[in-house]
Amino acid sequence: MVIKINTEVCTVCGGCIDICPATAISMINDNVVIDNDLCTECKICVKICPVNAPAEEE
Amino acid sequence: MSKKYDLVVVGAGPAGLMAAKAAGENGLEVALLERKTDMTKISRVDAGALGINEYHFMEILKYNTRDKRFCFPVCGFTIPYDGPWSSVYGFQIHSPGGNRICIGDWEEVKKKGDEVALGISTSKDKLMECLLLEAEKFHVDVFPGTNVTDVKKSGDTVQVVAGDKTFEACFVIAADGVNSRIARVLGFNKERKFHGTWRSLCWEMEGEFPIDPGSFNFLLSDKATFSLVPTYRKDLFHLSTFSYNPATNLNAVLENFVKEDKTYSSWFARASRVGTINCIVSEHSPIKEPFKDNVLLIGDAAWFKEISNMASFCTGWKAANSVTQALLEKKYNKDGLSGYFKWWNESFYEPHGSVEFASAELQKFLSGEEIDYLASIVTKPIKATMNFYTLFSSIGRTYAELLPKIQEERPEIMDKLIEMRTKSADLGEQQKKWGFPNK
Repeated sequence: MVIKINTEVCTVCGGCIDICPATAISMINDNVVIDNDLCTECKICVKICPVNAPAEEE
Repeated sequence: MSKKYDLVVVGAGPAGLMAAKAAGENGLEVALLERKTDMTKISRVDAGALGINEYHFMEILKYNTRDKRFCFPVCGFTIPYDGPWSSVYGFQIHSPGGNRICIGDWEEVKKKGDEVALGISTSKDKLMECLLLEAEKFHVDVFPGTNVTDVKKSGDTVQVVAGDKTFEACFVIAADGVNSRIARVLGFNKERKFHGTWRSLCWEMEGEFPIDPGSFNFLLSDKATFSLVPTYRKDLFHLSTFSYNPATNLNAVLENFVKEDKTYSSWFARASRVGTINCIVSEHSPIKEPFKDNVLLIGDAAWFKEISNMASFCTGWKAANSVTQALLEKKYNKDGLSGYFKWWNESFYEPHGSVEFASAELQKFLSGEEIDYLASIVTKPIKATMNFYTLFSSIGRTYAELLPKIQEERPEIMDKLIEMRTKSADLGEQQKKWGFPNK
């Protein structure tokens, strides 16, 4: 499983970037991107996103 | 390794841009790092409002419409703003059945207009652009698209790590916002009280503002609380809701309110939704001494909720000047910034640092009719202010005086208010748990 940002709904508020305890999320060319090598799948980003942009993918 | 800077500023919001511009103006070698590529585009909830009518954090504000500058007479600086704006006159709280509490005298506003304005709504994009232009004029090296991942002190210098790039400086100013990554990386949050993570969703609505122009409104339905805020554009307003509970579908809550609410849906009948913005605020208590390893935390990075644009500008200004002074005195440590800490303590931490806002989810305890009653008994307007500390204590005082009346007329509401108070600690605990990853 990996977590990916659905850029269709992401508003690029940046909240998950700050909160990610693994510092696995960055803003690249004004898009929010998760580095799956660093991601620990704690899913705090899934939990806090007001627009449900981070989603689990098989 | 690239060149060594006097100062690296992380974050190009109001605090960071102000700090970088002021340090540049003092002749320091400054780098400004920002993760966005277009730092003048604000993509989160922000009304761009600045309070002007009373001292807050020991500062007051005047907008000089002639020269188009915001003037901060206590700190002693000005910033250019050549953009659209509109006046803010006060707040209104609306109950589920349509009663309202006025914070601000709307009859007086009709007569006196801007003379009684308490704030200004700006285009924050434009405000940031005006500051960025000044920063560039003062030779600040701007690095857009830069994600800072770590900050380390070695010897007398600090290294700021951003992916494969490293920046070196005598001092770092962290202005990376309310959820500051630098505060977390440096271990500040371990000593701070955590209150939960506040999730907010906002619909940008085009159409005529449905209530008094220049009013910031809190709308209570019997299920949720909404904010309805004008922008600098007459035909654009923001309708938001929020929750600490991750299970709350904020979009569905807004949708239901706009389409189905028996009291308020008519307000939105002729407006159309043109965009969605949001924000997340991870609430940690303010930092008493926001300094470690030659990194100074300013603006929202050192505070609790959002501090206000005005306070961000003031902390940016003071921080830049303190760093300049430290460099002139060759004090590359905490002592060098003692002027900043004195000011921070007097203006911020001492008066407000330990204030906690109790979460007031009235709808958990009271019915719509009971909230209507509570709104109906405040008959005179409460004094308007954009200073939230004054605002909440005025509302608190107003109700404290009304408690005997409530006890006499509606004793069952009194019992529920007492229950709300006794359960607030439990609710706070729940709120905190929601802010952690699932186990």
